[in-house]
Amino acid sequence: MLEQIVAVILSVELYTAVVRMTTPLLLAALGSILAERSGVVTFSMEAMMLLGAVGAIIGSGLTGSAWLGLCVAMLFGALVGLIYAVWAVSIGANQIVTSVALNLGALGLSSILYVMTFAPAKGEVIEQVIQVPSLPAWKIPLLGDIPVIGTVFFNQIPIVYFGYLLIPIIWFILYKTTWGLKVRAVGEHPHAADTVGISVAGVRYISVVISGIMSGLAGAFLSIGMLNTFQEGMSAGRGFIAYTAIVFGKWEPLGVALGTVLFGAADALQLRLQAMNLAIPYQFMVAFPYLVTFITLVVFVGKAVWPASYGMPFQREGK
Amino acid sequence: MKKHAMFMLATLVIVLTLVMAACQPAPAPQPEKVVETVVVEKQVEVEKVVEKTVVVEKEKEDPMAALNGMKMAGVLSGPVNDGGWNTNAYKALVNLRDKYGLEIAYTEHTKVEDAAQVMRDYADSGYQIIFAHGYEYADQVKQVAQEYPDLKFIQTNGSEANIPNLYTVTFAAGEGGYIIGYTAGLTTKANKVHWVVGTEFPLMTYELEESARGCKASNPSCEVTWSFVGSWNDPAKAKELAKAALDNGNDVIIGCADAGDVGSVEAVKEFAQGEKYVRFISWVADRNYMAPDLVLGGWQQDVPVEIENIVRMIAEGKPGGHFSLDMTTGSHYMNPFYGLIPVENEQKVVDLINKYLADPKSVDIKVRYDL
Repeated sequence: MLEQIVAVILSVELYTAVVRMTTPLLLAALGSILAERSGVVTFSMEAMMLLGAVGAIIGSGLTGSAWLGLCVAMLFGALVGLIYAVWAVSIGANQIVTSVALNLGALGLSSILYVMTFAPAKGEVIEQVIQVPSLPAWKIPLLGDIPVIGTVFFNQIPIVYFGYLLIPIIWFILYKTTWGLKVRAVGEHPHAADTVGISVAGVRYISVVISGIMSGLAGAFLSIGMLNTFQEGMSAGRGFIAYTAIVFGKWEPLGVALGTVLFGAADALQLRLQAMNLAIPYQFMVAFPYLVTFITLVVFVGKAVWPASYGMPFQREGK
Repeated sequence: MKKHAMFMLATLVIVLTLVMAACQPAPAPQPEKVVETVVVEKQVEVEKVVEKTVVVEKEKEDPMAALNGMKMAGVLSGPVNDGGWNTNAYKALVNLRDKYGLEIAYTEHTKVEDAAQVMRDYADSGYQIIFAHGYEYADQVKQVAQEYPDLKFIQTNGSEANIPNLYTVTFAAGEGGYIIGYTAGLTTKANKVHWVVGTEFPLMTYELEESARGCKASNPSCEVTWSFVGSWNDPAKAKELAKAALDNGNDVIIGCADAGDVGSVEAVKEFAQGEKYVRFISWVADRNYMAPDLVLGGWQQDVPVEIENIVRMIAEGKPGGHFSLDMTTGSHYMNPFYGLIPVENEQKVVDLINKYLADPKSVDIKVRYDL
């Protein structure tokens, strides 16, 4: 058994699988760091991802262009972000409760949109899986020719490359731009930020919409990146895993990225090992990535230090 | 500090929930079927005969005529457009409506804990036949069937409940597994066959084991293995499993992951682009339309025929019980091969099926009616 496990760990295919399993988590988690740092809980990533997935299929199916599908996915994600922002920022509703409501609502809404777009006639049922144009892989010249590394990292669909770039981009925005400073200020001390003229609501709105766009992109990766179709509930809990990765990474871009890689790697490994037909119960295999995340979180990561105003609506005093 | 503790706690709860979700037995198992072109033709003939009988018997008061205007409701675990398990249930209801004039209704996404109430609501609104689609509703359907002894209840993939107004029905286990395994043994060139399955449950396990026996019967050096996605709605993971199996030297994938199958087919399509030999065999429903050059029709589980068989029993006034339908009922059969394996191999499968149907004991298929 050990030999087979070693063979899997040494195979190039495992690492290409890790990249594929990590990308949707990475996009959603990194894209939501700004919103999180501004003090808004982004437990709603599951909803944003699901709407992104269905948006990508609708865009790609109607126009025949996967690229336009990508645009629609980001638009749908942004809209969910906007709706969430209205509740969480303007109305000041409980963010966890609102997120749960959005996540449940998205399950039904994505299905309705899918049926409305693709049902053969009004009121009819889609009996066959709808297949639409999907994003092609782009091999990066030169880098893509490097043995092993080229195959694993630079022979993927474009969204994956965007995921790599997102790590430094988010880090740069957060720590090297005025906007990033505002985001952090709003998250740590909204009243202080408000007194120096920063629009707390404005910063939070924009951050949450960015979270929606990136999570929508993550959904598109599932539906038109890895596949070419939509299935109800196909985000399958990835939004929650992305959320865990944010806590895992303590709201730091690199840490969050590591969290998503850890989970993606554990998942890819269990899927590969299952195909080897080892005498391990499959229930253990399926639970393996969650166990790894759980144990790492408790043993190595320790106490989470979140933004001071996390999850709390902002209201100006004295008005 | 309090807040810190709260958030750590919240995070732990999320992770634990996910672990539990991953470990949970998944929704409904999948039906299955297989048929050979020849058998399909037979099917058609049988159907024609049935129609004729209906016409003739109408004059003699066909019991099915009594169904006209009756109300039947379906309780489903997922959406009717999933292209698999729940679409089959929808088709079964529509079939009865169109053929016998039943008035139909259904509820999608019924959680197990809500199922009893949904069934009671239908019972109170005058529905006479209530159909719960999936083994997960066993307790609820038993309870409600006892509360409403005058109404009839059907449960797919259920087991014997000894309630006179409850009809539990399954496809007999073993036939499909063995025949598909036999087919796979004649399809593979690498002598390695891999199943990508949603989740494990006893009936499925038995079919998998039978497929390994069937495969050995047609190709003694062939090895059958399987893996589980952990859910029925994650095509991305199903695709990864299929890719892993193909990288591991398998060249035939059998898909039983419901919504996940589209992912497995995608993996097969990508693998085929490398000019490599690969085939996908469907289970439950014919997936050939997804990749006509690669996907065999596989085994068909015909839920409309299955449910019609049971509704006929109800119409004839037969009491409830557990009914395990085998191939002779026409409820599961081999779909076409689409010329994707050599004609002589196709003929071997057809011969096996014909031999089995002529005399079940002449073939080493171990059918189980108790699962």
